[in-house]
Amino acid sequence: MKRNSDQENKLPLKRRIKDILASGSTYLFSSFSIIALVALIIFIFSQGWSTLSSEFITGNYNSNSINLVTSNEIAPTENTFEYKPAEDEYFSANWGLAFMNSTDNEGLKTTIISYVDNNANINNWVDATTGKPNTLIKGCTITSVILWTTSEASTASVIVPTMSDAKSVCSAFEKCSYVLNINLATGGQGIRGSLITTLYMILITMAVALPLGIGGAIYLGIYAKNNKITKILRTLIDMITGIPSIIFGLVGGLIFLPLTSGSTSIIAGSLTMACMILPIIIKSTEESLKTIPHGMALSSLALGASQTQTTFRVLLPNALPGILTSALLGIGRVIGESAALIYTAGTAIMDYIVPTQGSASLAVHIWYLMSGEHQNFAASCGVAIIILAIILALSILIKIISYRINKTQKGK
Amino acid sequence: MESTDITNEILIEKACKIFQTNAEKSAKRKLVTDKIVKNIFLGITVFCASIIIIVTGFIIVKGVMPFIATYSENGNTGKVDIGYFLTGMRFSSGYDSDSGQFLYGVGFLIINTLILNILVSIIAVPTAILTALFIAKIAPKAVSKIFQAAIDLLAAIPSVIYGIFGVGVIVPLIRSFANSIGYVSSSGISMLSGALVLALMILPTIISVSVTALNAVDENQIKGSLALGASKTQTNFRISLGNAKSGIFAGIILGIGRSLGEATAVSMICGSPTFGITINPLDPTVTISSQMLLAIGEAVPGSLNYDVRFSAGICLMIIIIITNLILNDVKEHVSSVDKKPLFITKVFLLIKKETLTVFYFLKEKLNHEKKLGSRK
Repeated sequence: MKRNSDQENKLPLKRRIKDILASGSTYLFSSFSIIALVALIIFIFSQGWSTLSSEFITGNYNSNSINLVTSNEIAPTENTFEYKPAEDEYFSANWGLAFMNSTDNEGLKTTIISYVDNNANINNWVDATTGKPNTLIKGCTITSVILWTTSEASTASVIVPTMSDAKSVCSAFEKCSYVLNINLATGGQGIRGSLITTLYMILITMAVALPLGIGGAIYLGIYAKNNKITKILRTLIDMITGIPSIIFGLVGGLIFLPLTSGSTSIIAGSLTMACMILPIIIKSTEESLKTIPHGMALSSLALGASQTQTTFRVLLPNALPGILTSALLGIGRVIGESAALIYTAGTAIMDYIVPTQGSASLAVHIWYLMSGEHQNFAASCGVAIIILAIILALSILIKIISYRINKTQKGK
Repeated sequence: MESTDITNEILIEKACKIFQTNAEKSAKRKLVTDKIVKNIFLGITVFCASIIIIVTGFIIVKGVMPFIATYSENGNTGKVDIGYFLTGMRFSSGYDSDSGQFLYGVGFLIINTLILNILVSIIAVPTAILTALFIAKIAPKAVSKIFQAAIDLLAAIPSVIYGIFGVGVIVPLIRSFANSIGYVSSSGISMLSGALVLALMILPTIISVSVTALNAVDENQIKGSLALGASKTQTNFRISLGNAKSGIFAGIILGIGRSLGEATAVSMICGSPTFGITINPLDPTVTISSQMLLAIGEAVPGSLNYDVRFSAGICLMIIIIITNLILNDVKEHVSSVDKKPLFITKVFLLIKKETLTVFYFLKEKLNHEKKLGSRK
């Protein structure tokens, strides 16, 4: 090492400066690319971490709305309620309600009802759709309220407070003694539906792609002779990877949408994805079939087993790690795909998932949130974190599998 | 005694025969099943291989339809004008009532796609090659292992996530940059932001393929170069990069292929201008793939608005195929020892040769005629 540096010192100055500049450029550019890629991860986590909660993951996308009306006279009770509001709470003494600033699952500012007095007038109100009294008022988000200053509709001035600020809501309630109706909402913006859609897609895609892919790999890896036809088949399969996903989306829509009477569906999306990931599965499985020592197949044949028995009993079990790896790679691809699914599975975010209906997967969910007029960073970054976590888990699994394969091969 | 022996022998013979025929039968059965199983797998493989043919076939058939079949849209009926389609500067510019044809143009989309991707490769290729060189040859082993694991992970990140990053970080950065150089009208949604995000997206792909190629360079060549007195940096740049050229080009081809077909991230970052070629990097741009994705929700399958996307798809495929062919040609030119000439140079030489022949021929003819004239 020392001799080496001595040697370098002896180089002419001009050359040394050139060398330093050249290797410096590699340091510069690699640090640039690494910084950019690390910035991406940091950005996603810093924006999305706050939205990540169990409610966000398990909640419905569409909020559950409650429309409260009163069947009695709409006048409030005369008595004033007593409650000691916390620091960020605003209490309306003549209604017995306390309001608080909050953020919903998407990270948008809202006002929630943080306290309801036991004798408050609102407890006697009924749900407009069911006609039964609603007791789940506390903790709900206020989506809209129409307040009247007097009971007479003709003379009353209507006040609709802005919903993003608890203070203004509270002062509006204090000012008015009559309420026409209150719309409350609970939950919403959750990604449970998209998560389940993605799971469905993975299942259906794998159920279609794995048998086909493994079958193709077995033919190419075991049976195929080294001739022109095999070469052509291989090239054709390789070419599938070169087709952009948007083209797959268009053609997939054309072929598979008629299966579900022309509308977008999870099945159509999954079948399109299955076509897209076939080459990945074939490649990876074939590679692992190739690593099996040739003697193994030969000894099985010598013991009297037929080629079919050898394939299914000897070769396939030994290729299992490779098949698993290919499946994991395929799953990663399904989770990340967006363009093809926009055409085939639609962009509507659903809560109740039926495989024959269209529903957005996680990646399409992000696209939907970001491509609208109001881009929602917090929620889309939250979804992105989940995708990243799944991809990280998948790649760790792949690493473990390949590490174990290497270990057993070295053991032999 | 003898008779029993004979009967025993007969029995044994019989048993042997039964065994033999049984063995033969089972062997035959096995062979038949082998053949059936083999053919099933062959069938599966042919099916897998035919996907590409089906996809291309559908795209071509559907994409040609707008030029042949008659559609009705907004109360007008007609075909799509093919001349305007190839040269048009606006994707949906309505209906030409004189010729009775719809005007859909992808000419500007093709040029925009090419400009955007040239910008992407200018940013991504040098960065990726130098990063790969750093990871494979310069960095200490521990650092390079961490870097490589990170790069492998990043290659698996879906494009929508790059899209979020683009909208959240790069677009505001470009906006403030544009404002600082006096380009106040820019909102940051621009070709430059798109190029940066796409470059970032294809970096991991190019890097990981290039690192593999660099690691596969023959150790003896490196040692030989060092022994001849070249410095380490010289060896890295001349020998390692020189020998890994073909692998690096394979990575570039993969990366550019991904960025050419990318739709969702581009549609999030580059905006959606409806017409015109974008040359200023700070202006928004629209590519073929993002145009294909634009307002897909409103397009009804079977309508002209939907089918013309297939025609745009044909253009996208042709662009990708031509780009791949050119890059492959360059790859072979660069990586072959005897410098196989580029296809373009071949064509150029051929044209030169032909023109020269024609030129000489004409000259000879002229001289001949002159001679004839002078004789008269």
